[in-house]
Amino acid sequence: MSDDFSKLDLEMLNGLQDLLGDKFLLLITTFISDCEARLGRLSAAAASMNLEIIKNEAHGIKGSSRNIGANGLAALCEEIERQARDGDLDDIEKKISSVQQVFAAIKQELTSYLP
Amino acid sequence: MDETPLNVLIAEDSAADRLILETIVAHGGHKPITVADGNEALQAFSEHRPDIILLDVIMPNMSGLEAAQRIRADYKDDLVPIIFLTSLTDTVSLVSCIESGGNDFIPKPYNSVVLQSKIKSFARIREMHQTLAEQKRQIELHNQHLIQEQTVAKQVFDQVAHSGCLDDGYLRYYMSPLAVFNGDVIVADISPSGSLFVLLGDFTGHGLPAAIGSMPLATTFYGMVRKGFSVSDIVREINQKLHDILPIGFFCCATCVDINPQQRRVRYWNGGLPASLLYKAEKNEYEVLASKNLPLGVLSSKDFNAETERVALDIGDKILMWSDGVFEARNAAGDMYGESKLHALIERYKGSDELFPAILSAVQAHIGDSEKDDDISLVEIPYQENDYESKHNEVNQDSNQKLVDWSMSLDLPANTLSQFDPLPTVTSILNEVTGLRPHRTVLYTVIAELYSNALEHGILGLSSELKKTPQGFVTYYEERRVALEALNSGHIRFIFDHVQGEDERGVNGRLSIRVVDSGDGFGVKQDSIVYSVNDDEDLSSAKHRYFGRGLNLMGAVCESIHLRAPGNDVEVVFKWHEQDQ
Repeated sequence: MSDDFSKLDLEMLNGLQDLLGDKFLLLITTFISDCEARLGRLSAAAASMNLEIIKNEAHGIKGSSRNIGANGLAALCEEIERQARDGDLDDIEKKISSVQQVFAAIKQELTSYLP
Repeated sequence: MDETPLNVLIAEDSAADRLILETIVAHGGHKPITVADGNEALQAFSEHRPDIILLDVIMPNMSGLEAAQRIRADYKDDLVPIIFLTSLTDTVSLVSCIESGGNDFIPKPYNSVVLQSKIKSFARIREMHQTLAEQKRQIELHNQHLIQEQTVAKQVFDQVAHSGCLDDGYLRYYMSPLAVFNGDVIVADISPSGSLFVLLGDFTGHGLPAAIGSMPLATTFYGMVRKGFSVSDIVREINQKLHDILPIGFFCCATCVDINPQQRRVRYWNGGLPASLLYKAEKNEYEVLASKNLPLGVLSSKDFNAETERVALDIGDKILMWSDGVFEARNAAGDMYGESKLHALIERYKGSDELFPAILSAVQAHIGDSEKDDDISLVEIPYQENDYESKHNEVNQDSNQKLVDWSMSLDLPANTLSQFDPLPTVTSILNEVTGLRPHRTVLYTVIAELYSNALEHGILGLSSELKKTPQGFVTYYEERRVALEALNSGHIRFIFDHVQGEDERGVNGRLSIRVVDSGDGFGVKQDSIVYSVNDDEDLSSAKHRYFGRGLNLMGAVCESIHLRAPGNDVEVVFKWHEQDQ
């Protein structure tokens, strides 16, 4: 399952590479560190059940992921965001941990773009 | 295509997204300014005054929605387009973006082409807005100027137009506030001979072009009435002035009247204004003072007809004048008040003091609340038996530079006599003597009498017998006109001598006026004093023959009258004292 979610939109990535040129590498590292920071805040919030933070961080990861072509990750985050907004806590911790797994896979794939 | 680079503020908390946006904006040739939350966005806004803002909705510290609201509140007049960056898709969220001041959204993932196009489109809108805002500012400024100018113009106009005797109670008039700037003008003043002069004018057109002609009209009118010029002279002069200054197609319909209590008559000239009415109290009927001329400013002096009509007046008579604004006044539906209703009113209130207010309230009731056509000018002048007296003599008396002792001799040969009226010139010189001012009406009459005797009897040889019948009166003046035109010899000389003195009661003076004509006189054998204040004998019939009507008046006002043989040389002495005014 995580295989599907970690799939990257390569066409999108190539477009970004064209657009950003030299800065593409910076984009990759920025995306990775930004998401890691958000995931850290997301896990902490999940532990204390702070729905507001869960919602916002999931929303943030969703947006960035879409921009970089990580649509599976974005979909997962959207679901978490929706649940946090609706106060539906069912399986939310499980979902957050699957987000972490998917992100790890994506990070690995993206890192291959780095020299 | 090369366009002016814009400052684009990017507020986005995700560093990766910021990088993408920044790159897209820079590729479009614009200058990105990046910040990571709402607080920083406000700060960057006031610092850089960006042209367009790309604003993430959900950010730490201050959300994009709040930042948008604050910017809109603090910079009301600037239209800086705000494009929300959002992956929100629910309707409520999108609506709240617009509510907080956003102009558009762009969804994630960002599409470079779409974002460029939106920036371009909003730049265009912003440019249009700026142009509009600038034009609005200019219009407001112009409007302010215009109102200010109109206020000043109205003050200047009132200063000029009301400098006469309009408000001295000799006449009733109404002029609606709009009428001034629609080119209506009413002026009134008293002449040195005690005549009341009133001119009602209505310039063609509306607004400033119509109002501007009123100024030369009013100043000419006042200047000439006070110097003793006739209606003919005044309308001729105004006509020439307006003809010279007004563009083709601009002119002034006007009626000018001269009401003289001594001669119990009105002289009027009407050019293009609706006929005025003269109410004759004795017969209880109206006489129509219709227009027989083209308006002022149409014809050149050469073609202008300044001839006036003369109508006798009696106690209780009054003159009613109005501009066409009265019967052309429209109600909200656009219907005119109409001449027939006006005439019905005039018949119904014949001779009544209620007529004036009745016309006003009827026309105003017709107009109702639609003030667009409130362009009413209405004048009513009751005839009064006594000389009109200017109540503004005092105004100019403070001047220090005045004639004190002086003498003057003025020779008028035939070519001048045939076309020049010397009385205004002479009167204006006498006006320079402070002590003579209060007596100017009397002096004018005395000098006018001496001059007309010298001219009509001494030089032209006309017989005053003619003037005894109304028909003869007409014949007399016709003969006078013909004889004057043909005049090629003869002259009249005025000799003035004024001495000022002072006694225990104050300043006094003695003015001698001598009029000598080149005629043969009328058989006076030897020089004689025909009248003196010390002489209480009856005056002989021979003396009556010379002076006619004028003598009684002269006797009443002058110290002495000296007649030299053979009767072509008369000298009157007039004494004044500042306590006897």
